[in-house]
Amino acid sequence: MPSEAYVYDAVRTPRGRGRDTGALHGVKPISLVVGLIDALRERNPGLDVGRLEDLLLGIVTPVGEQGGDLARAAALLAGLPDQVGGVQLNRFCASGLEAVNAAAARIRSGWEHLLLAGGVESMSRVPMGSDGAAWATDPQTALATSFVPQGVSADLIATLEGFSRDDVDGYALRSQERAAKAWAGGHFARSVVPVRDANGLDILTVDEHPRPETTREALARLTPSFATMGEAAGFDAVALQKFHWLEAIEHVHHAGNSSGIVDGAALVLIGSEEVGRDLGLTPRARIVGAAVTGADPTLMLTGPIPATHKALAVAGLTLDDIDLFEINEAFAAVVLKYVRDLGLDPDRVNVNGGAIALGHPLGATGAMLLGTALDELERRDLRRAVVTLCIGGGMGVATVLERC
Amino acid sequence: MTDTIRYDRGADGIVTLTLDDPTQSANTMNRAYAASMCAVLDRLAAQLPAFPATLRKQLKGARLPAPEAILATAVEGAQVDVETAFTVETRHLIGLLTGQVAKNMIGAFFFDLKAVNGGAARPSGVDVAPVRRVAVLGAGMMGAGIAYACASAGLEVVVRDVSPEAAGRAREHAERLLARAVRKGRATEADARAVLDRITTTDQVDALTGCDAVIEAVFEDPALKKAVFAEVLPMLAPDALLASNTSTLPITGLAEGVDRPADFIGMHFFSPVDRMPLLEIVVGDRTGDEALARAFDLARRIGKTPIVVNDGRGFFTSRVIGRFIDEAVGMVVEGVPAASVEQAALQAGYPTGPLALADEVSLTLIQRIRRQFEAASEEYLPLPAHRLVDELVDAYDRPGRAAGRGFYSYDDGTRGRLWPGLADLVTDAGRAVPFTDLQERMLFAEALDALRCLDEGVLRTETDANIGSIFGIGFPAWTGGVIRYVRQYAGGPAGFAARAAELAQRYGERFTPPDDLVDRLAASAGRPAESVGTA
Ligand SMILES: CC(C)(COP(=O)(O)OP(=O)(O)OC[C@H]1O[C@@H](n2cnc3c(N)ncnc32)[C@H](O)[C@@H]1OP(=O)(O)O)[C@@H](O)C(=O)NCCC(=O)NCCS
Ligand SMILES: NC(=O)c1ccc[n+]([C@@H]2O[C@H](COP(=O)([O-])OP(=O)(O)OC[C@H]3O[C@@H](n4cnc5c(N)ncnc54)[C@H](O)[C@@H]3O)[C@@H](O)[C@H]2O)c1
Repeated sequence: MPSEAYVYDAVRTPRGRGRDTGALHGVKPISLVVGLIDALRERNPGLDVGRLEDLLLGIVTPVGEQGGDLARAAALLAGLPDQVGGVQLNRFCASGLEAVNAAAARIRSGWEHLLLAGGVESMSRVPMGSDGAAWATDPQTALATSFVPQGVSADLIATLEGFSRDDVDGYALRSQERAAKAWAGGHFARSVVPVRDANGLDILTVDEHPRPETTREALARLTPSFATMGEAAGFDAVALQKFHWLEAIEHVHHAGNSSGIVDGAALVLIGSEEVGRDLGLTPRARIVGAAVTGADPTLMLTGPIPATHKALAVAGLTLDDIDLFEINEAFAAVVLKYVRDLGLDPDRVNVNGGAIALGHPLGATGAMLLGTALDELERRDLRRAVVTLCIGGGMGVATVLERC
Repeated sequence: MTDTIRYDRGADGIVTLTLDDPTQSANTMNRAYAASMCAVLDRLAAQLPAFPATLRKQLKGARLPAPEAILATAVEGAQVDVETAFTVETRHLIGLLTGQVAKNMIGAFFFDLKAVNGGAARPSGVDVAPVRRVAVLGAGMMGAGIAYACASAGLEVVVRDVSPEAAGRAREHAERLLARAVRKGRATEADARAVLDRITTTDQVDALTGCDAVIEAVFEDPALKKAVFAEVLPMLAPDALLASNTSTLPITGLAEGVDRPADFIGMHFFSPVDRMPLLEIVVGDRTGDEALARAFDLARRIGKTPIVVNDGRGFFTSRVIGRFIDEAVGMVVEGVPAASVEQAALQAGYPTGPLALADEVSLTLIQRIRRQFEAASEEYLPLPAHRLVDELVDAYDRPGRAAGRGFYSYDDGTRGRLWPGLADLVTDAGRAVPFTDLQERMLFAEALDALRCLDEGVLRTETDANIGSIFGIGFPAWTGGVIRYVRQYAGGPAGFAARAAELAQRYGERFTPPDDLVDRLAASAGRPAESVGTA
């Protein structure tokens, strides 16, 4: 008998700055995952791991110590029974949410009942892009698909939409302010599990990336990050050859209004109604719709717009039915474009800040955002949220969450 | 096995690869090569994504198959052993060799060019005395360039302008170019001095005594041109070749100013003369075979590629390039964003966007030439493009690059952005025209007018049309020339005609193809110069 897909719990690590001075640089990616599995078992004493069937992990750079199907290794190292599988998947920036959606679909199929889904990325240890990519490095492919790096796409969106440097900086400042308020108000408390060492000592208990002291003036002084690559390496030319009515790309994104590079992991416990009843777990929410779709690969980062429409259609809902939106702050223009195109009230979008302040640990972010949205629905006693991320190659993934 | 291979780094940092066991198979060596290439690739990996982008930037978006295949071959080949790399390369090469673009380009750059330079258009069996001493009238941009071209080829040159200072500019121009050649090691000081010694500048007509050819390059004014010919004729050798570098004025008309019209001919050079290889020789109604033969030989002597066309306003090149600019400006008037028009042309393979080109030529000149056409022809067709050029020149004082403002704004000679005010001068802002239509409207406008030139006899051969269009007016080289473009169009001339009819329906009568286009091209398909590469 197929069942709805229920979210029983969601946890995440704090995000460490993704460089060698970051607090999590000394922690292996597998340890981040094992720590979260331990935490879930601790938080849910009724969770009989003998009922677990698979661990799905989004990892965007699955090489070296993040390679070789880290999910299976993590399941084993965490002491889960032999029958619990592990699978690594990659849908770039949405991998963590992809894992959640895949798990939800499998639960809804009726074939499986209890799954762990999430993601991990230790960007300080396994640098973004170090896995190579035909899309970027095979000339035939890059030429045929008008490949440009994400940052240039973000600047392209800003140019097309007429978002000024001031607009994107203003949004970045709001992300910092909201993240600071959220931490001060304990809005992340329910999900964040400290990273501890083997001796039980805290390594990191809070997100390390936010800069609450950020000012508009300080942001205005930062140098655009993608101008050199756009102009010298020819990516602007590639973008303009496609978006031919533009004469130039205004490079407005920089370190202060782009998603931060961080380390972190997240896990979501997803199961059927039956398994919850059996184990005495209380469902926190249902996943009522999920979707993946594509958009222009050179513009690249507008996928959340069609993905949101598609996921809502799956759920039989409209935008008016949604209380809160979490869209990954890959770059400020991505959020501004999403809000503009969907006609959203900015006060319902990323209410606790986002990746500009908190950081974007690629493979983990999607699952993190799901937890953030769920916590906030509960805190505000609201009903539904949409979680969505833009994706390299021009895709979008969205999930509609409804509290039980 | 890679472990039988030693890598030694010498003191000079160079790594040598040695096989411990010389009986090891070539495969071992290949594997070692592949391994070392992988190491190189690892280091390159970070830069690899920039290669295709840089290529797209350098080619301005023109999707030429060969550069793309070369880059792909290099990158793909580096991932595998050398034998496999050769196979990969072969696959790419076969794709190129059998592709239409290679056929087009071999047709133009090998066969057509050989035919033109080899004298296909020179009257055969006409023996003429070679030119030794050239009079150049006018030391402006063109006169100075022509003088330098002649002197560099070993001819004596006398440049005459209205004052010694004005005439002296021809010498200064030569000095500048020679200094650069010496700096770059392309000429010795002695060579440079010899060239300069061959250039005499003067404001006196009697300095032209004994010249056996004259090339006139004064202002584009028929009365002035006739006057300067009349003035210098008595000084010249009695059978001197009389040539005008006019870019649009009919040669037959100018020849009325001299008493030996059989010796009068058009020698239309392109700017900058030292870099543009083409020369358009224009045969007037009364031009004799000897004049043509002498002009042709002179062109070859100074290293130019001479196409030969018959008379008509604007001849072939100036006339057809006008269609390109008119069509482009017309699209701007229709409301197509100016940036899109430029991109469409560049991505179609034109070396310069039409609006940048119009600024370069100067909108005032374009306006003046058009008014001459207007005055001279009953068939003159007023186009919306003309209104925009008039407004830019007359109402907005944006006459082109030299003034620092035209379609673009210029800062100290450097092209900046398109003038934003353009958007207010259009009739249908934001009109969406498919990108391919933008491109083909420009290509077809030129191709159709070239077909008309053939019809009217302005063009004598397709070969001349192909070479003239590529080397003179920037028709995209990948096409193999303006008429070969028609022949190689998907579906052949019939496919071209069908597409032209479609464009005519969407954008206007000017795209209506000649009725007999298909038959005519089929009938002439067997002619030697055209037969190659157009199958
Ligand atoms: C934008 C990006 C290139 C910036 O990287 P970076 O230059 O290494 O960033 P840094 O953290 O070193 O910051 C650069 C500078 O900005 C300053 N800065 C950053 N945020 C700031 C803020 N909010 N206020 C003031 N200054 C700030 C830093 O202090 C630093 O200054 P310094 O050079 O004087 O030390 C990088 O963050 C990025 O690529 N982000 C996108 C990630 C991505 O593509 N994800 C996947 C696709 S969505
Ligand atoms: N500019 C081009 O790209 C181009 C290309 C091909 C052909 N042309 C043709 O070449 C000719 C010259 O063009 P240009 O661009 O060199 O012009 P220019 O204005 O640079 O030069 C014209 C020169 O002629 C001189 N002159 C005027 N009256 C004279 C006289 N009575 N005797 C001697 N010299 C006299 C002027 O002083 C001036 O130096 C024109 O017919 C033009 O149509 C121009």
